[in-house]
Amino acid sequence: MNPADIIRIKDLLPTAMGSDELREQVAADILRRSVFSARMESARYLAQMREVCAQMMEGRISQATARDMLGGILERMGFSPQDGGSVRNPASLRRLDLIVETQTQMAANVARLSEQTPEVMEMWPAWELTRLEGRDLPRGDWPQRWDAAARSVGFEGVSRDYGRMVALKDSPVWQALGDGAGGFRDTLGNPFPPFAFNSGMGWVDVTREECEELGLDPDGASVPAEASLAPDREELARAAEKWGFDYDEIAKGVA
Amino acid sequence: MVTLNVTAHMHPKLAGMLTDLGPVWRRAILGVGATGLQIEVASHIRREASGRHRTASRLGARPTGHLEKGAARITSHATADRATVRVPIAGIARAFRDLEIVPVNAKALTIPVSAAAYGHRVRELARMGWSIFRPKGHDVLMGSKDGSEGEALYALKKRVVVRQDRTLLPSDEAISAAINKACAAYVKFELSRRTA
Repeated sequence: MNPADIIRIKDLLPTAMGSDELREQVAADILRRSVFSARMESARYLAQMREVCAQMMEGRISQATARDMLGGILERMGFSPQDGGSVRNPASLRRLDLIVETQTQMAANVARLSEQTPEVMEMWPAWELTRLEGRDLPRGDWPQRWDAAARSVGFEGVSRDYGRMVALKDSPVWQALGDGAGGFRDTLGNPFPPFAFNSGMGWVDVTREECEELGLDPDGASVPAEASLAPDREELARAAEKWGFDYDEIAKGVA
Repeated sequence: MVTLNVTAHMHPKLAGMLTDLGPVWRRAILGVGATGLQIEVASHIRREASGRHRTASRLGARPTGHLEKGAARITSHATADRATVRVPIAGIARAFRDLEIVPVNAKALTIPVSAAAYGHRVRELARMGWSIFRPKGHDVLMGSKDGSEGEALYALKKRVVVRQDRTLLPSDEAISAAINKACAAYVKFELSRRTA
């Protein structure tokens, strides 16, 4: 499923609750499947938010246009960016940027998760958490968050290279990070980026060779294929022989 | 947005192998190729983005992070017959051709010429409290806020052609190398398991 479809199939969750109440009273998987915004009870606005984010993921509109479209509806509802610049104001630039960035980041990462086949996991068994988007005031506590999450799962599938935040793709550390292990209360409850509100940290794939250098066991990350679907390697070998498979020649690409 | 087709860049030997393989192997190989390409495109755009703040710098504005954010949202998809990488960045198609931009539901395009306007639509600035007006006889939108002296915010244009910039995306050679290197490494890995 592509990211725009992932957004479009989400339910609308109008709510009068604030972000803390939502996190405490609504299950994370419901929030994950929903389009919502703290203290926003208008289903019409949420439906427009869903469509605008989907169009962004289709590359049809920019973030500025998305924000403008949402701002227009909010204006008709009586909200104004002049009522304050904090994220508590639904019409503030910060709030609108936060909404579209969070929804589109989530959709892209759900789509990436759905493409993690056993073969992809064999080649890139781990993810590195790293800064992919700049922020005016980046959180400086990611190493502490990472350490707390890793300790909470006994470092299962987590590299002990303390200079980098790398873990196998099926490590429980990702959920722990999203759950705010260590007492962090600004997280979103998801095992994928963004792990916290307005975070610019994201995933970069890590190769099998790099995993081994970092002391991870890549075979531990394999997703077992169903036996009935497991293809015979002889089939691959026959095709390789027939077509003269040569790694060095093919790896250069087509000139 | 652009969608890059993985199979179009495959080495003839790999493409030939795919014709002899069943759907499970095809899906596996194409999925690896698509992921390899996704990684290459995202890292290329991130590198390019870091050196592309000319307009923002000239205007003294904060960069919007348009490319950087788009790079973090690139996805891939593979089936047994097709694999693609989607780059969801508005305007990225100019990597392949000139883009002619004309106004839609408006009389003119609005090109930001000030830091205040950069990264914002006209209506957004108006909602933020700017008084915006067009001086008679000039193709420009002026604005003032909180009693400040008026300043030029946007130039008005009937049409803008954004020239092709192939460096926005990896070269065809780099695209091909990323796909084929990943696929070949995967096939080599699987074959080594057979003989191990």
